[in-house]
Formats: sequence, C-alpha cells, structure tokens
Amino acid sequence: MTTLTERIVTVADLPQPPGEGDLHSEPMELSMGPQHPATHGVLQCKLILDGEKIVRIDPVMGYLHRGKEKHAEHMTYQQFFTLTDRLDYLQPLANEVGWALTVEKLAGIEVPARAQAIRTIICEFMRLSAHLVWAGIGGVDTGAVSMFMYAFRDREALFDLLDELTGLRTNQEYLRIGGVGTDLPAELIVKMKAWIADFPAHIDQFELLLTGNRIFHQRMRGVGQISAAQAIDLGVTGPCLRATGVGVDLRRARPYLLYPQLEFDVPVGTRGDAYDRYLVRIEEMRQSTRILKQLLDQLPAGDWIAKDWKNVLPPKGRVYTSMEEMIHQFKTVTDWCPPKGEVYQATEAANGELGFYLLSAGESHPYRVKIRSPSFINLQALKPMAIGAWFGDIVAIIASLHFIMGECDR
Amino acid sequence: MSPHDATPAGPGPGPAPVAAGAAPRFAAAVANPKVLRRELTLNERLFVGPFVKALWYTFTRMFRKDITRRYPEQKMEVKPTLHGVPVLVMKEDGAPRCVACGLCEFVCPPRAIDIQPGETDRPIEREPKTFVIDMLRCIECSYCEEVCPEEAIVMSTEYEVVGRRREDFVWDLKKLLKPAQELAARIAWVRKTYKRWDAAAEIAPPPGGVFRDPRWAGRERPVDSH
Amino acid sequence: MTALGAEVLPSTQDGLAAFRVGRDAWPQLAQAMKRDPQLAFELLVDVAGADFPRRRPRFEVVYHLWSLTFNRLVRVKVGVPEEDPQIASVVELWGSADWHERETFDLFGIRFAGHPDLRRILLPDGYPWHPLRKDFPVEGIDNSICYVREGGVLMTRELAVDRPAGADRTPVDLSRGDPAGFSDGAPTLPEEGAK
Repeated sequence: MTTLTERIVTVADLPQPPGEGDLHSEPMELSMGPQHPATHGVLQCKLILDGEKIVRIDPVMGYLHRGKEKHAEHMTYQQFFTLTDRLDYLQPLANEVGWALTVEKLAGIEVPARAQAIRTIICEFMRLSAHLVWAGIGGVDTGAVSMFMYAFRDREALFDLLDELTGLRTNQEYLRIGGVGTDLPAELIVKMKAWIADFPAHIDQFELLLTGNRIFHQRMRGVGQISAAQAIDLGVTGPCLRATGVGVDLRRARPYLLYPQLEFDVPVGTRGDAYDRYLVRIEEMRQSTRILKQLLDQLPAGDWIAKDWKNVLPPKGRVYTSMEEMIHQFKTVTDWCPPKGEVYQATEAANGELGFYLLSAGESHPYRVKIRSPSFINLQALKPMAIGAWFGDIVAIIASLHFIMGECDR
Repeated sequence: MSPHDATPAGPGPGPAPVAAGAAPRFAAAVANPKVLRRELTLNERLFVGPFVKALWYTFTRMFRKDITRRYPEQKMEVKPTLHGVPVLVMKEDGAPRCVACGLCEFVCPPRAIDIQPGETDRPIEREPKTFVIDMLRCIECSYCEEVCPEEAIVMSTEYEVVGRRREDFVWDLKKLLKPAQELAARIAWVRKTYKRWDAAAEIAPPPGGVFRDPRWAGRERPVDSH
Repeated sequence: MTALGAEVLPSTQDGLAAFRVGRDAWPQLAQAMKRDPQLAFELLVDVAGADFPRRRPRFEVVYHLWSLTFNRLVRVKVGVPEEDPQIASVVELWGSADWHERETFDLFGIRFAGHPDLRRILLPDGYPWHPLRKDFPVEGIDNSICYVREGGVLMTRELAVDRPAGADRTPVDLSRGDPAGFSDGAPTLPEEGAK
C-alpha cells in the first residue's frame, strides 16, 4: 500500500536557459490533451517548451484503462475475445487472431487449413483497415484534409465486406477457439477480389495526394528521427522499427498462420523519420493486397473450424437431438479447461508485436494474461523523437507513430 | 545533400542518416528487405504540377456516383448475417421456445441477460418466468445464439435501438418475443452455419462417446458431477 | 546462462527456453544477456508480473527477451518476495524497461531499484491499491463512493452499486487457481498455509 504523490515536472525544475543576448526566453509548460484531436484518443502530453522548441515531454496515459488483464482472470477463454476486440479498435480481428493462437498453442489444437487461410485474410484486411485510418488521420494532422475522405471511403467499403462475413462492422467477435465463426462464402470471395483489384489504384491516388506533395514532405521529412539502435533499445517494433532500416517482421521472423507460404516483401526505410514511417506503411498496404490476392486465389477447401470434439462446440443439429451432444455443449461452454502451462505468442499487428503471455492453471479461466501491446511500447519512443523538435512537429510525430490508446491503456 | 534536406528538420542533434543496408545483420531480419527512398522530382518541388493534379482528381470526384447513403431515409440492406439485437423466438402458441437453461446468461460476456426460471405443466417443464436483456450492455456478439441448445434466442435484424430513458433499453419477455416467421431467415442461417463440419456428415462421434476419446485420457471429468 | 546462476525450467507448450534466476543473480545475468555477443539479447520484448499468493516468493517477474542477432526468444523468471517486493531495474540495459517496470509497479506493487522515475503509469497517482494482485477483487474496492460538489463543498457520497444482471461474483478467494503443478515446478505452500 504505497501512496505516491504526483511528481510533475515544473518550470522551476529546469535550469534557466542562458539568454542569447537580449533575447531572453522562459520555458513554458503546456498540457496537450487528453482531448486534443491530434493526440489520437486520450493521451495527455505535458510539454515544456523553450520558445517553440520542446525541452521535455511527459506522456500521461491511463485515461482508457479498463483493466482487461484483471477481467481476463474472471472470464472464460472464449469470452475474452470480446475484450481483445477492444484493444486496438482499428483492427479488432487481428487482436482476436493473436488471442486465438495463444489459446490454441496452450491447448494444442490443430486448426484446419481453411480456417488458417481465413484468419490470414482477415489479419491482412485489418492491417489495411488500420493503415487506412492512419493515412486518413495522418493526412488531417498534417493539413491534407481531403486524404481523410479518400481513406475512409476505402475503409468503409472494406468494412462492408467484413460486415457481410461477420455480421458486425467493428468489434466483430468472429473468431472461435479452433477456427472461425462462419465460413467465408464464395460470393463474398468474389466481392473481396473485386475490392482488391481496385485497391492498388487507390493507393496510387493516396500517393498522388501525399507522397509527392511538397507541403506534406516538408512536414514529415527529418521529423521524429530515431536510429535503429535507439529503436531496438526502446523495444520499438512494427513499421516504426522497419522505418529505421531493420527489416524485422514477425510474419517472417517468428512465422505463424500461413505466412511462410506467402510471397511478400518487407519494406524498410533508411532514416527512421516520419516520412520513412509513412513510406513503410504505404508499401505495407501494397504488400497486404499482394498477400490477399494470393490467398483469395487459392483458398484451401475444407473445414473452417477444427473437428475437435472436446474443444469446439458440437454441430447444432446434434445438440437439438442428442443428449450426449447437449451435455457436451454445456460442458464446452461452461467448463472448457485447457491444460496447465504457459505460452507467449506474438503476432505482427499493424503497429508491431502484439503478444499475449498466458499463464494457465488448468481452469476454465486464465490465471494471468499479460498483453504486450505494441502501442504502449512504441509510445516510449515519443520522448527521444520529440525532445529538441519544434512544437508544430509533435503533431506529425504522433501521427507517424500511430498508437492506439485503447491498446496502450488496455 | 539535396536541396530539400535544408527544409526545417528538427533542430535537435538527430542521428545521422543510415545508409541502406548499413543496419547490423540480424537473423531475425529478412534477408532482402525492400528499401524505400524517394526524393522529390523537380516537378514535385515546383509544386504546381502535383497541386493541379490533385485538385483535378478532387474535381473529378464530383461527377462520380455517391458512395454514401442518405440514412435514415435510406436504410441499409439487411442480410441474414447481420447481428442486430438478440430476441427470443416465439412458438405458435405464443410461448417462448426458451427452457431457461441459463447457458446464454452464463456465456454473455457483458452479462446483459438475466433469467428467472419457473416450472410449468407443459411438456417442456421449464420456462423463463422473467427474461431480461439490457440492451445498453449487449454487445451483439451472438454468443448467446451460438450456445442456445433450443434455437430460442437469435439475432434479429433490428439495429436501431433507441429510447428516452435507461429503462427503455431493458427489454423483457413482452418486448423480446418475436414470431418465428419474422426470424425465419436468421434461423435458417443459424442452422446452416452451426452445422459446422457436420455438413460433410462423414464424421460420427467417437465410439463410446466423446468423453472417452483416447486423446483426452487423463483429462476427462465425470459428466454426472456437474 | 546456467553458469550465471540460472536454473533451466522445463519446456512449456510454446517451446521457449525458460530460466529461473534468483533475485540477487539477476542483474549480473541481465548484464551478460545484453552485452555478451554470444547471447546478444538486444530487445526486451515484455515484462510481466505474476502473483502466486500461495508460493514463496509470492511474486514473479517474467521477462521475455529477444535476440535479433540469433532470432532467439527466451523467458527469464525472477521471484520477488512479498515482504520486500523489490528487484533490480534493467532500465540501464534496455530502455524499453522503463514503462514496463512502471506498469509492473503500478499493477503489482513490485518496486524496481534503480529506476529513474518509478511512479504509476496506468492508474492515477495516489491510487492506494495494486489491482492485479490476486487479493484485489475484480469489482474494485472503492467504487461505491463518488466525489460530488454540493454548494461548493466537496463531499463523498455512497452510490448504489450498479451490479450487472446475474453477477454475484464471489469476493476474493486466494486459494482459487492454485498453481501447484505448474510446469516450472516451483514449490507451493500446503493447503492449510493458504494466505
């Protein structure tokens, strides 16, 4: 039981800067957020400015802390999917895939090829969805407001596809332990293919609006630069790490799902500035469409959920007619207990390594779940990026880092 | 140094630009990453060309078909996959199909469902005395529908739940019960979907029942203890 | 690594190499893991706390480290006793440990000696509890009180607790989830000695 008093960095703590001739400036304290539109949710940044230059930055978070890890200890494994959805709410299904892989690894469940392919497809769709929001919001933050409209137009069409698959636009609750909730119907595959055929042209349009735009270029170039060594030291993963030139991608480094069989490039930047992070994300969208095309062209036939009598709910028709299946249904829902053990499973989410560390005591609910959220760790890089930068650049830095506070605060 | 490197970069001592491929060799990194670097062309630096191009692009959008919908006059197309709010299926005699087993109450992640079971003289022997769903809590995940052993609770196509007071969102039996004909499309979808692998029909339960499957030796729990 | 006092733990479902190390030997091991070119664990992936009320030591800090050079992921567990919940900080070695350790302190009350700025990160400063400990109820402790301003005076007032339908959760039960027989074979207190 310790009570800590709040330790706020105040102006008085700072050494007074030497006045340059007659131009004397005093440091100023500025609180940015938690309701500032450019802080992407509820991040508060306590800034200390020397003129227009950032001297100190102290990100304050926890405004969206919902105690997911505590809740997980009191929920069944299947129920926790509904909370993982709300981690990074721009890519709910990718979070669900991460949790499903963790639980399946713990229980040793084999997932059929078709279910794995569907999971890979939705993972890539989620990456596109997250990057599209990033492109739209990043455009708004740096002054390219029309970009927002174009990005959200495509995201809307993407959500229509997922709506048809899962029944919900966001927070879909689509995954099941052992597979996915429903099959991917053939007519939807046609629609997805049509969307993917169109999409690269739309990325070209984004690039027309942003990449070659001199204003955008000047806002992003050289801003928020970190080196590869710094990024690794700070545990930065995902596009932000790749922008520094380190081609580390969990889809290749610690492969999962069907990624080893797929062809795609891992884009890297060279300087690690905001512009590189932009380029990496745009290229990742192209690579995602490439992956999706391969998957949709050769989607394996078969089951979309494991034929596993003990881990998966039995077929509905038998539940209605057979006593044993009925008992099985009740047992699986209320008392599904994976074996004791511990598992760490990470997936490459849109922002980096999304890991679940699961400790199971052999009960129907987890003993401990630790969510390694990429946004939380990447946000630490805000400090070295922002200190010494101009005040106006912090918006571009935050936009290029792209953290999601729902995932950050958990 | 190209001219646009002189554009305002952070004044702080940033790290020197890393040359492509200069990063240390990591086994975790891919062997041949796609190195991105793009310098602005002269045309782009002059700004006028891309500016006009982007404006032209925006201008042409005016003559495209609208992709937005004029909601609420124009409703969205309702498909059977849609997860609306959960409702109860009514039998021909006006009674719910529900037998108050409480499985949906258990599985509901936000605990929106509250059932008080009661006895009845009809053949089903058990029925809900009260069945309440708090629609403010409901997240429309469809878990209740998936676990229901009686096909009694299904997702409707109702997605506009409005009210003036919080009490308006607490739906009781009277509000929840819907005739089966109204929900026919969704019930058909449920039957088709949750057939699961049984659609192939070549798999039978293991001889001796699933609880005696040899793969689960040592982990079975007696069925009758629960 | 075993030369530095690390005990090899049996492999679990994910097949990671796992080690347990004493609290005193941990700083030296961490130093070696970061600096030794044969180990080269450049990236601290995750720091997780865990609470086992019936074990001695009660707490455990679990580190996941990733060597990019060899593409190797390992798990290191360090026990932390309840009486003196303190462990050496590794911020000097891995910058990412900064917020990880603040979070573990926030949620478990484990103090990291040598951390430059150890204060709460997710919960408000001045919050009296460490909620991921097993003796903290999931409903929270203080949620029946709210702060209201009446006539310019700040007062506390009892609220009717908004309990979800059908939720009569048991309060804290420390004997629940007895981790005896976890794969890592740590000793567990006998049933009577449950705290």
